Parts: sequence; structure tokens; C-alpha cells
Amino acid sequence: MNFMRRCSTAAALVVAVASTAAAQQQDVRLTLIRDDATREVVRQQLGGALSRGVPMEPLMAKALEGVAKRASTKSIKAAMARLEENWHRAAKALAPNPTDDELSAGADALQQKVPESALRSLRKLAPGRSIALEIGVLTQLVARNVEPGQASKMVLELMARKATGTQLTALSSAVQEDVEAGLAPAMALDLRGRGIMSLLPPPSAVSTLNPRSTPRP
Amino acid sequence: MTPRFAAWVVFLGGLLTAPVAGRAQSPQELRVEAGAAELQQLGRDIRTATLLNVSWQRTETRFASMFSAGATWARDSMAALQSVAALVWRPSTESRFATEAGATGAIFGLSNIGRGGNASTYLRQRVRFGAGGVWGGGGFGSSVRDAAVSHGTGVDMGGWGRIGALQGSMMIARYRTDDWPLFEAARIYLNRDAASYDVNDATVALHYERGDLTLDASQSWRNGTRTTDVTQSALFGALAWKLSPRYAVTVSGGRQLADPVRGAPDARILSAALRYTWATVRESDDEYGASSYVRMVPTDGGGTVVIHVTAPEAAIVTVAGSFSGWEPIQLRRVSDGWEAERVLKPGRYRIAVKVDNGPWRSPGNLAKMKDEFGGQNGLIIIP
Repeated sequence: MNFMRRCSTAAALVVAVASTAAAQQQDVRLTLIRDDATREVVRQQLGGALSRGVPMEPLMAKALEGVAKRASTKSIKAAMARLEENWHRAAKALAPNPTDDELSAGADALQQKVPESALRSLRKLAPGRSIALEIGVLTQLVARNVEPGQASKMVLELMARKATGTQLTALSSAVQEDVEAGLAPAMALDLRGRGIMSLLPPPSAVSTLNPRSTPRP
Repeated sequence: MTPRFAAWVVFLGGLLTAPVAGRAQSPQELRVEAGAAELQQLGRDIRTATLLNVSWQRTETRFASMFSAGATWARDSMAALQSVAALVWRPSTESRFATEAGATGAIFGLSNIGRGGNASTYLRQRVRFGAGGVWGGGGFGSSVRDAAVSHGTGVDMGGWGRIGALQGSMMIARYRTDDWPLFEAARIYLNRDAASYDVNDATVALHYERGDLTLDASQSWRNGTRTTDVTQSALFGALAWKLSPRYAVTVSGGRQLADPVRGAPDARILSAALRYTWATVRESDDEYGASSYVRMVPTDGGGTVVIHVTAPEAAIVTVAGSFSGWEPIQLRRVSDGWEAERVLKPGRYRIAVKVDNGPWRSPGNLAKMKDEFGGQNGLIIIP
């Protein structure tokens, strides 16, 4: 019983120290915001978001970005609110256990008008590992004016065939080069995607070689 | 008899004395300035006038064009109009050389030397060296006043440079004209009868931008030659305070010496105006005639990211991003532009670059995302 009590006390202490450290960290970064009104608004937004389960880091980063870009207090507040909203939408789409990295990538994707259904499809295909990189590549492709449906289909296909992170990011860069050279984004993705797929084993072979590639129920 | 009154438009001063760099703040920019001014020609009463200036400029990779027009009205005088059109051309974005050609036109009523008009042209060749450079050029103008025609010519040369947010230029010029009434009205004494009269000028101009504040100041000195007897100096200053991205309050004042090429009289000016600026933001990487890209070199457990901005005329280039907690980092000058290098761990990073006081833009070869603050970020993924 004594042992249990000591463990609880120790755990409570660790949590208290961690919370204090997080709060101190928050305070330190808040001091980078010189304008009193903006600092107060950011503090309130952070407090509210933390109580709703949204981590401080991405919101603080958004606030600091706004400060660096000399945005108005109103704009910073609106951007933080939108980010929090996208964070919640991403959490639903990437359920059940998304990581903070995935949620951050998901929020970026939603801001770029990637549909939630595309995030759900990615999660369905890889429920047991982080898909932050794949979401990021999908966001890049949409930002490069590839139609979201076509972009998510290509990313899903490449994921199914076990394309590496390096191959996926190379695809995105290659599409950019082709678009700059005058190719339509859809055609560039199609050509470059096929090029990468030609180097990968077909989906059935992947499943045979690596049974864990089958999505977990 | 209705008093005739000279209008003297302040914006001409920039083109006349300090072609510091001839760069545009945006690919396309329209400025409208409305306000009031107190004007005084040498030896005449002070007049209060309403002023309206409109200027437009467009910057392409190799061309920049600009047009300015201004008008003033005073209660007891006729309106006056002045306009400037100019074109700057450079052989390529990396070229040290740029050629500027322009034409000006004016209609004025001068209280001491009569009403009339002027047309002039000028040509300048600039050579850039890093954040500075030199130029040389000349102009020719004809004035008609009370049916009398006169001509003026000028040659000028100078240099410009930048240290941080401070830009400066120095110019020496020699003017020749047969417009002796203009010189006499400006108290430039004529030593003897001659076909034309000369003066020598020297001008130092400074331009400073920081945050919402822009300051301009110029000091000119004029000396006579064998045909003229004069020692004059003139100080002119202007301040612009940005109230919002589009609106600014401007205050300017000082003395401007008579211009033998454009036929403008010696005058003292004090003006205050509200300025509205409309500017386009280029979606491509070609900002201010500059280009930027990010090169990634994979390393064990991450990658080295090299941010390169080709902006040879820029004074400061900064980069900020999620990798630096959005703390702006100044790029270092390299032979053909500006560069910074960072080693990043695997992950997603948002990044933006800024040239001088321009907007935050994504480097050209990155996927561009709107940043919700009116600018852009580029998205980097390190696998």
C-alpha cells in the first residue's frame, strides 16, 4: 500500500514538474511577443486550446509566425482559431490514435483544401504507423495545383506499393519541375507517379513479401 | 489681374536627384496621394494648394516601367500638371547593367516668370556593384513661357550604396540653359551676356526604411560658373508613416532648386497627404526581379537545406520558418545573391523568405501555401 502511495506521489510530482516546465516554456516564448494586447490574446487562445486538448506547440508556432510577419492581433487570433478548428477536424479524420505530427500535417492539409475523406483513406491504409510524411506529400501536390482526388489516389497507390519517404518526396519535387517546365500538374503527376511505380513491386507481391502491409482491422 | 501661381510637384524630386536603385516594391503598384501643400516661389507670397499625385509602376524580370502624374490647385491660381514616364531595361536579371530612359511633361503657371509648359527627356546608364553602383546620364528639355521658347541640357553622374536599411546616393551635375528668366527668378546672377548659362550642382540623398517608417532626405548645393554667379543650398525631407498595408500619411518639406531642364522654378514646399497604395503580389518566384529556391542535400538522419535568393540589389534578405521558431535569420551575401544553410531533422517545415521590406514569400521551387497573414509559406519535407 505504501509502495502504491509512493508511486502515486512520484507520478503526481512528475506531472507537476512537467506542467510547470511546459508553463514556463510557454511564458518564455510569450515574452517574444512584444505587443501587450497580442500577447494577452495569444495567452488566452493557448489556454483555451490546451483545455480542449490541443497541444500548445503548433498554436504557439502560428502565433510567432504572425508576430514575425507583423500581422495584426485580430489576424493572429483568427489564424490560431482556424488552426485549432482544423486540428479537431484532422483528429476526427485520422482517428483513433493520431500522433501530434500527423495532426499537424492533417491540419495543414485541410487548410490547403485536402478533403477529410482523403485523410481517412490514408489512415485506413496505414492504421498502425505514422502517415505524417504521406499527408505532407499529399498537401504539397495539392499546393502544386494537382486536383486533390488525383493526388490522394496516387499517394494511396504508392503507399500500397510500399514507396519510401524519399521516393514520395522525390515525386513531389519532380512534379514541381515538370509544372515549371510547362506540363499540366495532372499530367506531371501521372508521368512521375508511373515512373516511381515502375521501380516498385506490384501490390500483390508486396502483400506476399510483407504480410504486415495489409491494413490492420 | 489674377495672380498666377506655380505648382511644384514633390514626387519629381526623386527622379531628378536620386535614382538610388530604381527598384519596385511590388510587381505592379499604384499609388494615389491626396493632400494639401504650402508653396512659395522665391520672393513671392506663400500659397496654399490642394495636391493630387498618381503613380504607377510595373516590374518585370528585365523591364521596369513607371508613370507619375501630379496636379495642384490653389484658390487664386490656375491648376498645374506634371508627369513623368520612364522605362528601365536590363539585359538579364543577373546583369550589372541597366538603362533608364524617360520623358517628362509639365504645364505650369509661374507667378514670377509666366505660364507655359515643358517637355524633356533623359537617359541614364547604371552599373551595379553588389549593393551599390554608379550611373551616368543626361537630359534635354524645352520650355515655352509666354510664347518664348528656351532650352536646357544637363549631364549627371553619381553613385549609390546601401548599408542595412540605409540607402544613399551622391550626384554631381552640370546644367546649361538659355532660360535666363528662370535663372534670374531663382536669383542666379548672370555675369555677362551669353548664348547660354551654366551651373554646377552636387546632391546627397538618403533613404531609410524601418518597419512602418520611411524617411527621405536630400541636400543640394549649387555653384555658379564663368557665366553665372550663385551659391545656393537646399534641403528637402520627406516622411511616410504606414497606417496599414494600404494607407500611409506623408509629410514633406524643404526647398527645391530651379531645374533648368524641366523649367521648374526655385520653390519652398511644405505638404501633408494621405497615400493609398494598391500592389499586386506575384505568385511566381520572381519577386522584385529576384528569384529564390531551396536545395536539399540528404544526410544521415535528415538533410541540409540551402536557401538561395538571387536579389542582387537587395539590402537585406531574411528567412524564417518553423525550423527557427519563426525567428528571422539574415542570409549572407554570396557572389550571385544571398544564402543560408541549415541542417534539419526529418519532418515537415514551413519556410518563407523576405527581400528588404517586401512581403514574406515562398521560395520559388517549393509547394506554396497561403499563410493566413497575406503572404506565403513554402512546405519542405525531409524524409
